[in-house]
Amino acid sequence: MRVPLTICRRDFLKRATALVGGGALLGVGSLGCGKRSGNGAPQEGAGGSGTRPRVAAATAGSLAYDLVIARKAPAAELVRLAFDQLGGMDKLVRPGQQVCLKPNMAWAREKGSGACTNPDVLGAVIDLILQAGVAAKDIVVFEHTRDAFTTAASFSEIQAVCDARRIALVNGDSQQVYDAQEAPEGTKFLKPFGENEEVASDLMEADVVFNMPVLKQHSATGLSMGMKNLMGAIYNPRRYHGGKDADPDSGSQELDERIVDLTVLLKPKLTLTVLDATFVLREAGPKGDIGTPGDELQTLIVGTDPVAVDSAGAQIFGMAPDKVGHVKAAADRKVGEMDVDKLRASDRLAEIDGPAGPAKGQADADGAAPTDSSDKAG
Amino acid sequence: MPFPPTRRLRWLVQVLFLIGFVVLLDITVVPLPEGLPTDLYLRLSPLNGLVTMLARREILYTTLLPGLATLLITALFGRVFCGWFCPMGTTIDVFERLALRRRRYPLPDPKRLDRTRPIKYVLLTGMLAAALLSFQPAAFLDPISMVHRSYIAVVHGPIHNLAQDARDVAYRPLRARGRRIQPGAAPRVYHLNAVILAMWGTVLGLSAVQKRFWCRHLCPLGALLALVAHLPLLRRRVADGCTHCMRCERDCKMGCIQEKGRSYRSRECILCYNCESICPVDAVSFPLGAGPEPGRDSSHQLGRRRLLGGAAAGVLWMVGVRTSVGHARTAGRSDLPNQLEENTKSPRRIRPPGALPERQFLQTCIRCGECMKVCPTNALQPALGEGGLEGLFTPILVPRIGHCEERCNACSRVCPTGAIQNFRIEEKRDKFILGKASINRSTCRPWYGGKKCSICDEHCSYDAIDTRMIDGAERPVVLEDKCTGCGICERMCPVTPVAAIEVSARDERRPLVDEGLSPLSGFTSQ
Repeated sequence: MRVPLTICRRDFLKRATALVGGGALLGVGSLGCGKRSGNGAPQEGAGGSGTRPRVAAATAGSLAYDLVIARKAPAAELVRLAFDQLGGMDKLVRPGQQVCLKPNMAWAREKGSGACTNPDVLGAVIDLILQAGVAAKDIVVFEHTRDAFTTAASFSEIQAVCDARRIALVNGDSQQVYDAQEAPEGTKFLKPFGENEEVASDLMEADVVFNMPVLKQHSATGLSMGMKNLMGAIYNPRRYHGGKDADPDSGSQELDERIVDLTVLLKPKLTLTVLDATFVLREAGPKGDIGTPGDELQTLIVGTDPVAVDSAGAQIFGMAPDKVGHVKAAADRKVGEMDVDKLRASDRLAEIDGPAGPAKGQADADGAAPTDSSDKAG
Repeated sequence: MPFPPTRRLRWLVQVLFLIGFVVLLDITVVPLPEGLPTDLYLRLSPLNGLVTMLARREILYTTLLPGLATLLITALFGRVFCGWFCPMGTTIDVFERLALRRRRYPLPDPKRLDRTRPIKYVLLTGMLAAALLSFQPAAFLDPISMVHRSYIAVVHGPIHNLAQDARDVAYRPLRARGRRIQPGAAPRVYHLNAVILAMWGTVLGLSAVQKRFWCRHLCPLGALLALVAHLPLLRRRVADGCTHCMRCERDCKMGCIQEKGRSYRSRECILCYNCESICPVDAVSFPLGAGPEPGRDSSHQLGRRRLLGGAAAGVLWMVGVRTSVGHARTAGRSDLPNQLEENTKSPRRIRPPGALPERQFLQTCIRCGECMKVCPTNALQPALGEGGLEGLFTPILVPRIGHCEERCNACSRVCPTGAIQNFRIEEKRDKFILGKASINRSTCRPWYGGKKCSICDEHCSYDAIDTRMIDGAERPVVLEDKCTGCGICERMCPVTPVAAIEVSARDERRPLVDEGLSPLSGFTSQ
């Protein structure tokens, strides 16, 4: 068979476009994440960032507390308790809003190890958001993992949690999903017209952002909590570790100061920090050794002030907050409140007892700190 | 004009098998599909199995079984594998139809063809001789290995990257419409894809000289199958009505029809049914039968001189390649390292986990590239000189591109020959050591610049890096006994382009996995 094939330029261009486009779509279609739910109701002003009218986010003032600590219950129950105390999820999200959740899913570690956010906590929060009337397609879970995305998502069971609820779990490997953000006032290393920060556009364009870290020991920053977890929402966290144009005066505290910079940048976007302390990784953090179960503290800390949540987290861990470099630095720079007792908190930390009782005084904190790295910073 | 049934069927089968080949390659990703033989086509090549077993001096059932099926089919029906199933052959056919559409081939000259056709037997003999001396020749000449490597590095890589770019471009507009897709994953890179393309391009480009030039003259797998196709049951018969119009002689893919269409070289025939379909008087048929056919010429032009020449060339090839890297020794134990090899090995020749001891590894690895395709971090790359010339295209770990993911055994599951032994994820950390990391204290920021940095410590999956207070500052140190050489520290190190912590193949540990290979490991592996 000889099909007479005469081809002109226009034909060629048509075919080439179809071929390339088709191939690309094939690739796109075969790996689409988060199945489409509903018929994708058209949104007003579907365009780039900023054109979509925002539904006003709930203000902190409308909540019953600034900080809630829920304890001694299964993970899903903790979430329900905490949000009930806050005043209900309805105060935080409304139907039609875009919601971004930022768990800690950095590593290929199992539920219960304390290296990643407990999938049960994440799942329960998503369920509450869905019950509040937000469509599944308007919720996105974002993470820039450290281990390979697929293994981290599957071992942490977060992929399963998202799939079961038809929520998109977005892989932050591609630089294209980040937008450079101009440095705001009050940063040290981020400078206007100098060093920008590439932040996940899913987070920046969401109406409601829940930072959902896990409480764990960290070899570089003493502890990893809410502020540290924000490093998984940027493209290049590697730069934080002593870049070549680093401020020579800041010395070894540069990492801490940069984490505070990031908090300054993102704090206006953060609706809530949900700190998971159901299982706590006490040593070899942030990743931990395989098979080492986390310390089961059955605690959840929810609050509007990222610094206060981290401060409470440090105390739950058994460390004085001012011994955690970036928490201290954030308080010094007035980014948030380190003294939890000054807030409208549901519990006084001092009244909490049990195996993970907080550091009553700062004297016993040193002993509990697994590395001395925080001493230097603090 | 539509093809007559058999020729149309042949095209259909060819296209389906090529699609199957591409699909099997495409799904060779993490998470691996359970129970699908992703390396089926590699095992279908009896040549791969034969030379690997000769080089290893060991029966490898996994590699053997599908190849035996190919041999059986060839013995029964002739070289249908070449004409109907071979992904390289189909690629050549498709290339000819697309790129060489206008090419008018001259009428083949049987005498000239007969002079060059035996080259493939010489190459086959050379391969077998080299394999007998424990050298793995498949890397250079086996078409199935080559076609895998080429599709992976030359076709899959760019298409994957294009698709990821398309995802990146489409991500935001679709999101704005309430539709979410996954943004682009990291692009795939394959070092040496230009070299691989050059090799493959030569094979395809030779078709400009004659149709299926590679298959006619060079393919050692074709030579092996030609030897087996001694008395095929499908034989070409020319009825009396033949007008000697020469159309079949001109149209034959293999140039194996001679004497004005009357006779053909049955060992060269790949049963493409072109001659049957093109005959204007329908005189050509391929009836099933065992009786002698007058027009069948089953001579193979093998000749003692050619055999000896081929064998000598194979030996020289083997010795030459080995001499270039300083370990010309062939005798002796292949499972124990020799001192010269140890001293001269490249520090960057980091093998994947489960890799056999180096000498056995080189004998067993057919350089198909499946491990590189499946590696989730893109860490496995074809070696140029790191493994010596003998190690060309063998997989090495390039930590700056990717690390060996702690909880992954994908490469060991797709390896068709067991050069990367199948192991369980749980035994990975205790059994294999790819190399050791060491810190360069004159570039490491905490050591040299006094900065606070412990990225290597943070990322280490094996708790093998400790941040210690040394001389008034916190500095990372490698705990040699825990380091497995996975390379995540080197990958993540903020010092670029040469990381301040680097893995070398020093102190690698590559034991044999106890249970060995199950006969069906590739099909059922966990």
